[in-house]
Amino acid sequence: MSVLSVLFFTFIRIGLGAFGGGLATIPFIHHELVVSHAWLTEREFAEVVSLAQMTPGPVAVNAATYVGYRLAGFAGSLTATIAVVAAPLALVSAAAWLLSRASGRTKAWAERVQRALRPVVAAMLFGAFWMVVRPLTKDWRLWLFTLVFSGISRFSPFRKYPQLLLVAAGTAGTILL
Amino acid sequence: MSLTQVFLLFLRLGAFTFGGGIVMMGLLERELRETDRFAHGEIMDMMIFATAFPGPIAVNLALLAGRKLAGKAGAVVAVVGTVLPPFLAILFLARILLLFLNAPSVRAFFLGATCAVAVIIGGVVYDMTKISFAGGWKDMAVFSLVSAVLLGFGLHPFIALGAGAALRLALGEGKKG
Repeated sequence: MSVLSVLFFTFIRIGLGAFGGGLATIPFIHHELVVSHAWLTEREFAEVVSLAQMTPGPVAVNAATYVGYRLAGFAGSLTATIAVVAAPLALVSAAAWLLSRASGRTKAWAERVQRALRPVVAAMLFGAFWMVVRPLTKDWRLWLFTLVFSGISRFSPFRKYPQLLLVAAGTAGTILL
Repeated sequence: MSLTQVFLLFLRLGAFTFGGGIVMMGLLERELRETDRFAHGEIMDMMIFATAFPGPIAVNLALLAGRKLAGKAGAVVAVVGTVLPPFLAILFLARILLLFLNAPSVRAFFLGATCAVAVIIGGVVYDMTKISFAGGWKDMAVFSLVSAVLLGFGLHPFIALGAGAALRLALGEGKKG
């Protein structure tokens, strides 16, 4: 198989396995890229994770673009990026389509499942939240920082554009931390 | 909403999803509420849908929200708008960013920004738990159990999701949520 098709199928798998959001998906991506394929060393993988946090976008997408580029240039980055989102998007649109056509008992059942998912998804998001917060708890200054910015976030313009909060907190970090 | 507007909205969101897809939920929720085209519960349901499926949450969410805003073409431009900034950022900035990965001021910037990420994700988690606890103690019990299992035992999120949803269904209806 050519490099591009290997990239394509590997990132299809990563897209389907990247589950639970954000940092929760890292162990799976690590397994695929470092253990099964040896495309990256441990150190390089750590760099990709840092890069993913410094650049916008989901970790899986960032990893796809980066690894794709390293292995096969621009064509590789495009192939891997499309692959990583293709399968999930197909699943989500198929499910949304089915749901919009459902009626009667099927519809009532689908709504029950959706309601049953609420507390489970809330717990998954709480898990993802905790993974972001845990490293912050080691330093009291970061506690203070988080508290201050949580207060500031209630006021405009931060209320309307939370993006500004990220930039402001980063800038304050450069000055104070 | 016109396709250009949808594209620009998701381009803006995609460019600021530092810290992963869940941050985008926080940003998208505020922006969508501004448009007055969604009921609060409707936005929450899209978030649940996006999380309960495999793949990057931000991309799944873009598909669902884009579809609601401007149909099939809306879904396509929303996904492209969300993925384009991360793709270009890795393609053009990776080499430069790797040089500064360990620079103290860069680390301080991202440490500060992480505090804001925690605030934004915390808001999403708070909203999500509030809406999912509408079913009373059964929802709270499932939430606590799934959180504990995810954080304490490192269970794979996919299994936790299936088991949690099955348990919630088995407990039967609470109040209508």
